[in-house]
Amino acid sequence: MVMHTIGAESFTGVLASALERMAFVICDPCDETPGEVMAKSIAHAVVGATGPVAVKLCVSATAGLVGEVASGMLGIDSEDLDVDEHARAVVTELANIFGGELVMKMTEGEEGMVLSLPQEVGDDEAGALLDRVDAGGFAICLGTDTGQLLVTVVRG
Amino acid sequence: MNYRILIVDDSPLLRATARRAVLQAGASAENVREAQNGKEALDALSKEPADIVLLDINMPVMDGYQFVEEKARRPELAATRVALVTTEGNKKRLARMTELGVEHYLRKPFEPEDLRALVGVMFEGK
Repeated sequence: MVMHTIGAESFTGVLASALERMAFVICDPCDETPGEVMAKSIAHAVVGATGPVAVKLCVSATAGLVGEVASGMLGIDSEDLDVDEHARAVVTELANIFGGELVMKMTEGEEGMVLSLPQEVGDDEAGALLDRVDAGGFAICLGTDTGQLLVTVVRG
Repeated sequence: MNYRILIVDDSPLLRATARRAVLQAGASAENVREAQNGKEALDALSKEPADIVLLDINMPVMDGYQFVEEKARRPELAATRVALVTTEGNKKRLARMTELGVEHYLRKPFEPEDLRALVGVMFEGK
């Protein structure tokens, strides 16, 4: 059975690569704490993966990051975007893509893990998942010049 | 080009990205339609056929697997070719999709150029 353990160090590059490929957004690890990025985020989405193990992945994004991703994917200038209009679509699609990447890194496509539909969640639920990181999981903060992204991964 | 393309994805961002890619690959805007899930896609195909379906898997109402299984039961849709554009990476499930007639597979995250190339290959194969 193939089932790799994934940590923040190995997953950070996966997230940065996915953002660059899909949206031409170049991200680096940022100096803000997960709590600080969470507080500035305008939308959150959660996706679950179930199978031999169960994990949840939450994406939280600030307005600047939402604008950059939407701009990159839609091919229009970020100044012409209504960020609030695209926030839900951005975080849910990022959760879907990052969740798929997490499952692939864990299983190499061999095990029967199933990804749920991504769901937008509120500040309270996203914060509760971040609080569970110490019990088994990790949080990654990525940033650009204009925005930040928080990805929280926990068991269960 | 006059190929009729149906983009099936619950994400409006992905549908917009795919639409840009197929237009850049040479499709005509009036020949590109969109659906948010497999059921909408089947409804759209029953009204007007498509040559190519770009299909996500993880969708509400009717997912990509259910769509492909249902399409395989409908001989009138046999000429419609399907490419998966999805986060799915499970080898067994993808092999099952191939058995049911799916011809191509592009895994998210992809670069827009990857999708343009995929559509180009499918155009050439028509």
